Amino acid sequence: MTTGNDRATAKRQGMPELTRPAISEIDALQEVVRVMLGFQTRDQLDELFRKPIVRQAVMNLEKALEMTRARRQPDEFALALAVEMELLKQTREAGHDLEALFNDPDHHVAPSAEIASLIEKIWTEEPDA
Amino acid sequence: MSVKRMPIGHGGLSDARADIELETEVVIVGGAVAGASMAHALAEYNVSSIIFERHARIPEVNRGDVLQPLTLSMLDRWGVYPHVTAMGGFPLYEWNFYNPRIGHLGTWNFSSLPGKFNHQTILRHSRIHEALYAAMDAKAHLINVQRGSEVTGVLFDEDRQAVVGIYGEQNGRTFEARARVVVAADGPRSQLRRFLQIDQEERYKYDHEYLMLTTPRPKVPEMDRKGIQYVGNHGLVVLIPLDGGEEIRIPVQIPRGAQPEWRRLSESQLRNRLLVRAPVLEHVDTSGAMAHLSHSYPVSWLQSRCYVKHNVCLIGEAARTVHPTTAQGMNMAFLDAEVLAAVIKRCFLRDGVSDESLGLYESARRPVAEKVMETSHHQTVHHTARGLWHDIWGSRMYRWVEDDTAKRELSISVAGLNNPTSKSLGILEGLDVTAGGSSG
Repeated sequence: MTTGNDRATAKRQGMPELTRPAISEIDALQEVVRVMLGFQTRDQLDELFRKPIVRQAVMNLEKALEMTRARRQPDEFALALAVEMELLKQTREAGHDLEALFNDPDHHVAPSAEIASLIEKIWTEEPDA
Repeated sequence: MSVKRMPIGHGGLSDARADIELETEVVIVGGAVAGASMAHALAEYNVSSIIFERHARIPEVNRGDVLQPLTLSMLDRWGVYPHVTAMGGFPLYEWNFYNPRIGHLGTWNFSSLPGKFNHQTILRHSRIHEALYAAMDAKAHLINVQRGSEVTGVLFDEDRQAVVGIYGEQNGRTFEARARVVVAADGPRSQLRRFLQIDQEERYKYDHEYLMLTTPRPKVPEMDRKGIQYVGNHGLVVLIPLDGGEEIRIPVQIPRGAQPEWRRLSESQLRNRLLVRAPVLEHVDTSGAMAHLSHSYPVSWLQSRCYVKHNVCLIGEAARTVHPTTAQGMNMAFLDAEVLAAVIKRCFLRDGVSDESLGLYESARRPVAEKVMETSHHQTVHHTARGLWHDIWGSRMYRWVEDDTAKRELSISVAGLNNPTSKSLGILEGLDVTAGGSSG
């Protein structure tokens, strides 16, 4: 009697043999991240994580996750918060405190063109070759 | 007058005399919102019409539920508004924009709008149909409704220059109806439009579609006579309080073709997805969200190359389709009907019926529709932007663009108050609209 999991049965039924994982470790990790963060495609994931600011931000992901959970928000929101924290850090280093601009719910003043272009530049920065 | 029969779609060609022969001033093909409002608009000028609708009963479909202030004023004129109210029409004064992670971003408010109606009214689509038909009882001498009628062909005059009627089948019997004008209100896949070889231009191909869900209304102040639109990483989710305010309709932006995947979700998986996109739903049971009339539909921006050909006039979605974000599609159909009715009356009274004289409808409506579609598209692109960057930066623009003048202009535009009606266009100026017309 076979269990349906042995090699002979798999071969007879044209199933792939499960002697090694179907995808690489990195692929497996990316797939977990894609699903957990709600991305539709792997390309979207790749494009996001190519960005230097996102890669810098993940170093603070744990702290962002704690804050997200303290706000009783879904874990999925932690990455955006981490990137935002990194954005505020980098703009602070450039001499601009944007904490109020980002986090005051009653703040209804648009950022200056200088600030807007600084933030755009940080987001669109290309990784070093 | 001898006529030539020409089948449309898969209809058969028969020269046999029809079992039922009808004659009227205007034949309306399609009895959904556009067709029914066309009949009301004509009745205002004592113009008789027959509606041919293929559904034997009013179908329970999940489409536009939002009646804009300009539309409400027309429904008021046509005697439909009391029926809208009686069927649970729910005044909605405000839309609020939220990002699920960041919170409140901005407000659209209608309460300061000029005119009698300073609110939208929300009524589920099938009840809008019912209200339109209930209001026809008092106009039975002008409006004849033929349900369960499949239009299978058109009648051309001898020169094949003008369509002078239609024919088809109803409950196994054939019918033929002659009229001076035919109105195609037969929806986005209009058979009449295709028969007349009126092409449509695709202006924009959106990368998403909408999954329509229904849940109980969260009993929170944010949803008391207010609607919510969530924007951000996952795209747009709209929470529309339905009639009576006990349920909400929820169009959820999903990638094109993703509906099968959403359908496979368990109740808890669906709940997780909804709460990430619209946290206020934590207050309600979402287990039945897919149960009632849920479906998805791709969205597109299509414009017909012309609205009038061989005395057939396209209205509503037969003429164009627009992205639903700002709830303009159905409302444009009402205004089409209002303007076209005045043009038809003018043709009957003075100008005669021809493509040239009916063309006034197109010249009045096309530029306005273009503008509405442009605005709608602009808003759509803004609201449906997705991704982490929109979550972090783009969605905050709603908060920062708090200029009162700009917001008021947008509210007026969404309300339709910038769109000229037949009155402001002066289509019937100087004519005695109470008179019957026989010109042409």
